[in-house]
Amino acid sequence: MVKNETDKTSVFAKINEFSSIATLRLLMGMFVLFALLFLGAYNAEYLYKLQNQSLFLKNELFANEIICQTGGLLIYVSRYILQYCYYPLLGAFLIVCGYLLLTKMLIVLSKATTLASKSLCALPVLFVMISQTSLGYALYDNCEISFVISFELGLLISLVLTWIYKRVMRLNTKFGLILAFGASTLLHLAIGVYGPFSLLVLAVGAVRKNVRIAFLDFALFVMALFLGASLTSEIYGDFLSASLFAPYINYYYLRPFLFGLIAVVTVLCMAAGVLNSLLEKKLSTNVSLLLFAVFSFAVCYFASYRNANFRTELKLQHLTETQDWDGVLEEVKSVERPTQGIAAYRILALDHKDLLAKELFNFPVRFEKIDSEYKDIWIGTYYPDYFFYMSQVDLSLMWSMELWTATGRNFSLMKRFLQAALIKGETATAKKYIDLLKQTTFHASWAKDHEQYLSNPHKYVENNKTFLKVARCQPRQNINVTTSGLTEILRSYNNLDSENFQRRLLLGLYENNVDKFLEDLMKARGLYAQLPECMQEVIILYAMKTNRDLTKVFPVSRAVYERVVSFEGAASNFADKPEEGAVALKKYQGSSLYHLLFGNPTVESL
Amino acid sequence: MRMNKLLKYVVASVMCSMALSSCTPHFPESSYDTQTRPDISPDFQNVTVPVNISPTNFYLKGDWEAAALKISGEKGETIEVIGDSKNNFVIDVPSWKKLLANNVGGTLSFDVYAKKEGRWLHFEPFNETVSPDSIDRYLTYRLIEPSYMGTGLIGVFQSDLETGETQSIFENKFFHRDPHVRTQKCVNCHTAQRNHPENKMFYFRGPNGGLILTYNGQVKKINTRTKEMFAGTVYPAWHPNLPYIAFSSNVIKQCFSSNDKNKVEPFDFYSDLVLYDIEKNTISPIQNTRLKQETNPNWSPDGKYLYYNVSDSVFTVCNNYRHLLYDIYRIPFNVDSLSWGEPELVYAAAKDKRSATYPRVSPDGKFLVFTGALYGTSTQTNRTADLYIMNLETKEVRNMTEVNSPTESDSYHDWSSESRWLVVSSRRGDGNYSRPYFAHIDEEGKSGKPLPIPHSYPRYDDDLLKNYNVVEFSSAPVVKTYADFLSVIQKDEIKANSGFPENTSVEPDGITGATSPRTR
Repeated sequence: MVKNETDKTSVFAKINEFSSIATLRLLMGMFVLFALLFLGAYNAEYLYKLQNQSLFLKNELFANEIICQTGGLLIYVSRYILQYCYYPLLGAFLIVCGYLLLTKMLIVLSKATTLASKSLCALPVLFVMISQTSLGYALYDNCEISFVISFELGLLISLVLTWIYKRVMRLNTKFGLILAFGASTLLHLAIGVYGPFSLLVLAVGAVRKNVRIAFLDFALFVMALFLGASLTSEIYGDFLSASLFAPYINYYYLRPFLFGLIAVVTVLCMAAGVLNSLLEKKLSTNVSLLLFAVFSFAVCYFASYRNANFRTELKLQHLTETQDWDGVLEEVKSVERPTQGIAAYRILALDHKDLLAKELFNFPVRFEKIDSEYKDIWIGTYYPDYFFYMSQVDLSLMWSMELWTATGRNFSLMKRFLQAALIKGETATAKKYIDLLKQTTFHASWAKDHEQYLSNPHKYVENNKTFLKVARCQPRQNINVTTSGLTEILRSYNNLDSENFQRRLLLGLYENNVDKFLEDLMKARGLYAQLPECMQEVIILYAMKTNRDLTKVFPVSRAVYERVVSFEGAASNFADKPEEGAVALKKYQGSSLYHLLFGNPTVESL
Repeated sequence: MRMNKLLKYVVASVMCSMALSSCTPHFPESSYDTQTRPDISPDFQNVTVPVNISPTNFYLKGDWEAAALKISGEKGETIEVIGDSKNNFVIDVPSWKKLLANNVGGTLSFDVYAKKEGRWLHFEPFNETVSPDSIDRYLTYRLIEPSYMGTGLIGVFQSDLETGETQSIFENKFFHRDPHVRTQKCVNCHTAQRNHPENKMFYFRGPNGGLILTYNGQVKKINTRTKEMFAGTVYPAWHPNLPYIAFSSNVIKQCFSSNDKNKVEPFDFYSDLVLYDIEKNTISPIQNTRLKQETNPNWSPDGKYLYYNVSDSVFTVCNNYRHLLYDIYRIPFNVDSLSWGEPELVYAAAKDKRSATYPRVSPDGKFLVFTGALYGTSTQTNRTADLYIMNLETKEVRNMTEVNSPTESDSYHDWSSESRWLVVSSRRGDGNYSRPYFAHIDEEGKSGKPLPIPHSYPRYDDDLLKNYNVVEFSSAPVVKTYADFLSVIQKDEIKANSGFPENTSVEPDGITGATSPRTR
C-alpha cells in the first residue's frame, strides 16, 4: 500500500516534471519564434544593413588590423558572424541560438529550479535583443556595429567562463581563484571587458552564500579589469580609459548603450539569484509567467527602435541596390512625413522611370529631420546613392570615400567604388576592389560577376539599363566643385544635356527656388515642345503675380491655366495660415503650386 | 592493454604524418616551358635590389593547383620555395641574406613553376640585379585613405626594409572613436633630422594638437603658430646640422572634379616660409610675401641653401587652380650669421606652362630631383606628375622616364643617406592607392625599373586600402614610444615665441575670406 502510494507520488512528480519541461520547452519555443520574427522579419532590413555597413575580409592584413585592439578577437569573430545577416533570417537564427545558450547558462548559473525562475532567465536576453536592434542612425556613424554580435557573444563567453571557474574552484578553491584571475586578466586582450566581467558574475553569484568570498571575487574583478586594461593599453598603445570597457559600445550611442547596461544588470541579478528568489517567494508560476510574457511584449513594443522613416530608408537603400525602382515608388507611397533621404530615393526612382516631371510633386510636402544628434549623419543615408544614380559618379565617389574614411569601411561603399570605377573605365582600380570583395563570404559571387567587365567595361554599362543612363548622363563638362548639393552643382554647368537640364529645372523647383528656376528656364527654350505641367503652373502663377509673363515664350494649356487660377483664388484665403491652407487645399497636392506654397522650408538642397 | 593503446597511437601518428607528407607539394622534377612571363605581384621582375633588402616575396596570380619557385644566384647559391595554398612565395630570410651576400653585383634568376591539371608549367625566368649599394634600413610614411576632407584612421608607420616588418609610430585611432572630433584629428607632417629619428617630429592636428617634437631625448608639444601667421605650419624640413626646422605656412584648399581623371586637387590660397628655432622656441619669417606663394622647403645637404617652390599665381576661386604653376628657387642661409640671402631661381617651369614641386637635393649634392606636372603643388593625386632629375653641375634636367609610370602619378620622393637610392610614391598599381618604389641611382644619375617595397606578407600592398604618404628614409628605428607621444599630447602645448619683425601683422583678406600676411 505504502509502496503504491510512493509510486503514485513519484508518478505525479514525474508528470509534473514532464509537464514543467514541456511547458518550458513550449515557452522557449514561443520565445524563439517571437525572437526570430522580431529579428528576421521585423528587423530584416536592419540586419541586412548592419552587415552591409560592416566589413570582413579573409586576409592576414585585415585580421591583424581588427585583432590588434582591445577585445579584437571578439570583434573579429563578431564581424565574421555579422556577415550572415546578409540573409536576415539566417543571421536572426544565429543570434537566437546565442539567446538560447545565454539563457541556458543563466539557468545553470542561477540554479533556477522552477518553471517561472527558468523562464525568467530569458529576461536579460530581451534587453540584449533591444540593445542590438537600437542602433538607429548610429549605424551610419563610426560605431563598431559588430557590437550587435560581440555584446551577446561576450556575455555568453563571460557566463561560460564563470561556470568553468566555479567547477574548478569546487575542486580547488585557491587554484580556481588564481585561474579565474589570471584567465580573466589575460582574456582582456582577446575579448575585452567580458574577460573580467566573468569575475563580477562570480562575485554576485557568491553574495548570498558567502559575502567574504563575494568581496574577494569582486576585488579580483576590479584588479583584473584594471590590470587587463593596462596590459592591453600598453600592448596596443591605447588609452587606459578606452581599453577598460572595450569592446562595449560607446556611451555616445545612448540607446543601445543604456539597454545594454540594463541587460548587463539583469544578467548580474540573475546570476545572483535575486530575481529568482523574489519570484519564487512572492508570485505563483502562472502569474509570473503571464507577467513575464506581458513584460516582454511591452518591452519590445515600447523600447524597440521603431522610427518609421529610419526603416523606410533602410528598405529604400536595399531596393536601390537592386535597382528596383518600382519597389522604391511602392515603398514611399505610404510615407506621410518623409526625410530628405526618402525624398531623394523617390527622386532617383522617378528619374530612372522617366516620371520625374510628371510625379515629382505628388508627395507629402512636410519633411522631417532625421532622428540623430550628430550632424552630417544624414549624408550617409543617401548621398552616395543619390549622386551616383544621378550620374555624378565622381561626386558619389567623393562622398563615398568621405564616409568610408570618417564613419568606417564597409561592403556597401566598396561595391560602390567598384561600380564607379567600372563606369568610368578605370579597370585597374576596379580590379583592386574585385580582388578584395572576392575575399568576402557573401559578396564574392557579386564581385566575380563583375570580373568579366574588366576587359570590357563598356559592356557593364550596356548590359544594365540604369547604368546606361548613369553613364550617358555623366556631365561631359568638368567643373570644380566643393561640397554643394546636387541641384547647386547642376546649376554650375554651362553646358548640360537635356536630361540633366531637366533635372536641374525640376530639382530647383522642388527646392522652392523659383527665381533660379525661372532663370534656368530661360536657358531651356529649345528643350521642350511644351513644358511639363508642373512648370506651366509656376510660370502661370508668376505671370499672375508679377509683370513678367513667360507664357508668351512657353505656351501653356487651358486646363492648367484654369487650375492655377482656381488654386490662386483658394490660396489667397490662407495667406497667413499655411497650416490650415495645407489641409484645406489638399486636393491640389501633387501640383508644384501646392508644393511651393506649403512645402517644408527645411529642404534646402538635396 | 596500455601497450596496445600506445601502439595504436603511434601507428596512427605515423600514418597521419605520412599522409600529410604525401600532401605536401614537392619541387617539380620535370616541367613544360610556357614561353610566357609569370604574372606576379608585386612586380619584382628585372629590378635592381639593394644588397640589404628583405626577401622580395611575391605571389603568382591566377588559379593554380600548386606553385614553386627556384632562385639561382649568378655567383652561386640556390633557394627553392614551395608556394602556399594561395601561391604566395615567402622566402626564408637567412637563406635570402646569404644569397644576396654571395651575389653582390650579380643577378638572381627566378624560375617560377605552376601546376595545372596535374602538369607542372615553367614560366620564363626573370632576374633581379643585386646592387652593392645598401639602402637605409627603415622607411617612414603615413598611411592614409585616399580621402578628401574628413580625417580617417591615420598613422605614421615605419617599415624595416631588411626584414619586411612594419611598426606603428603613432596613430590617431584612440581619438577616432569620438564622433565630435574624429574628423579633425589628423596625424601628418612627419620628418627627421638627416633621416635619423633621434630628432624627429610629426604633427597631431585638431583640439589638443600641436607639433610633437622629439629633440635631444625629450618629447614636447609645440604650437608654432604665432599671431603674425595666417595659418599653421606644414611641410617641415629639418636643417641637416642645426636645431632649425623650416616650414611653410599654408592656407590649403581642395577642389573636386565633377568628371575628370584627377578627382581631387589640393592647392594653396596663400603660403609663406618660416623658420622654427628649436632651442630658442622661436618662429621667424623666411619668405613673407603678399603676391607669391612659397612652399615645400627642403635644405641642401650642407645646410647652406633652402630649396622651395614658388608660384606667382594668386587666385581666389577654385576653378583657377590649373593656373597655379610653380618654379623652384633656393635661398642662401648663412650658418654663421644665421641670415638669409636673396632667392635664386633654380628651375623655371612656369614659363613652359608647367609646375615643379618637392625639390630634393641628393646628400652628395650632385642631383636635384623634383616632381613636374601640368599644374599645382600637391601632386599626389595628379596623374600628370612625373619625377625629373637635374644635374646640379651641368643644370641639365631630364624626365626620369625609367622610373616614372606612363599614366599615373609619381610624386613624393626622398633620397637615401648614400644618394644611391630614391624612394618615390606612385599610384601606378591601381591608379588610386600610392605605394613606395625604390629606384637605384648611379653616379650619372641614371636609374632603372624601380623596386616595389617588399613585405613578409606578399599580398600586403594588394590588400591594403590606404596610401603611403610622405615616404622618407630613416637610418634607425624610432626612439620614442606611443606612450611618450600620448602623454605629451595630453599635456598643455608650449607656445612658440614670435621672431617676426614688430611691424608684421595679419589682415583679413577681402577676396577669399582667408587671412593673409602683410609686412608694413
